[in-house]
Amino acid sequence: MQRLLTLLLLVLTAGPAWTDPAADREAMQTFYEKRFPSIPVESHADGAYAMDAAKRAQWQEMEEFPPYEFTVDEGETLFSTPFADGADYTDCFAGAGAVKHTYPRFEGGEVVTLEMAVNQCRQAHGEAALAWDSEELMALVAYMAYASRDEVIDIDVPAEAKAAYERGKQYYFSRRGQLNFSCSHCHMQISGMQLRAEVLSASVGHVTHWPTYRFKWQEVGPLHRRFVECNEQVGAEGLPYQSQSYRELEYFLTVMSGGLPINGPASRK
Amino acid sequence: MKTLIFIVLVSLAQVALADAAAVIKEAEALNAKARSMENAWTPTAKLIAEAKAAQVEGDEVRASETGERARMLAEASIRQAELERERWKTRQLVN
Repeated sequence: MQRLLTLLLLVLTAGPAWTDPAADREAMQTFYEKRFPSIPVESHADGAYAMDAAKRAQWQEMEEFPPYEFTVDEGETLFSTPFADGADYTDCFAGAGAVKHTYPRFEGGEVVTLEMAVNQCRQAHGEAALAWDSEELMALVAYMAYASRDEVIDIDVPAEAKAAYERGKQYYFSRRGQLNFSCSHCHMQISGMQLRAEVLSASVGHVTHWPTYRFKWQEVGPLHRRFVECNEQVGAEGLPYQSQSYRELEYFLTVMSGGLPINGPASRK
Repeated sequence: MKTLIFIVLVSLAQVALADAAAVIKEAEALNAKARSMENAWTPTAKLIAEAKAAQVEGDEVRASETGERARMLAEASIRQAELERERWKTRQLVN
């Protein structure tokens, strides 16, 4: 009887030592379904424009003449330009670069983003790595995102990647900065509400449309640049682009967006 | 008597100088620790820079006060990181 009581106590007090990514995704997507019953989960790929009809109409008009078009064209040219050794990006990426929906992935003991994979490809062929926010790298990944449009995000979390996934999840739910906010405070707890003139988007869909042309940047930029902005908006210092923590956060967010289509590059205010 | 007053004033100025320098140094060390925990706050570095500028201008009181504010912020950012090691779990969703 004493053993049974001990076992019962252990079961009742033990928290989930490890949560299943698929269960996390289901919980998060269900959260947004309940919070925004009139918005299909897939529509959150359009960010805040899924929640505000007037802003959506303006954005759709802007997308008729997409400001990232030249960047995509440049990326397409770069993608098929041979390296010094005669190879090109098609030697590293199948499907003419339509692979955005399969990144980030866990390889070689770490989370590898698409930007990293592009640089790994270059280095494997004797080329120098590109700066993480360089025009050339942004053009390449913008083209690859464009080539991947409508492909559905399907990121696997193998057993050896679970620690990295958990750290990304921890980053997402941890308070930081002088304002003491976590990502989840803005993008779950008060999502759909306004901060000044801006509507706070849902986290499901946060990764589908990158790289993105932001009018405040006046150029196409990477997701990690947006992470830095988010950090700074709550009074926290941002981290370097492609730092381990940002890559793991991207991994977590991409798993949460599983089942959503790639719709990048996109334009945002 | 004049000499004594002069010595006392010089000594007090030296104490203030040492205090400002010490508090700025401590704020910098704590902020470096917060940064190593990936949890530094943006106002801390700005306040440290302001405190150093005040010191260069010879305004030891402002340097000391601003340095102290930076030190407290750096300390709070470290405390936040330590608390969040476990508290984040209370925010995750459970289906």
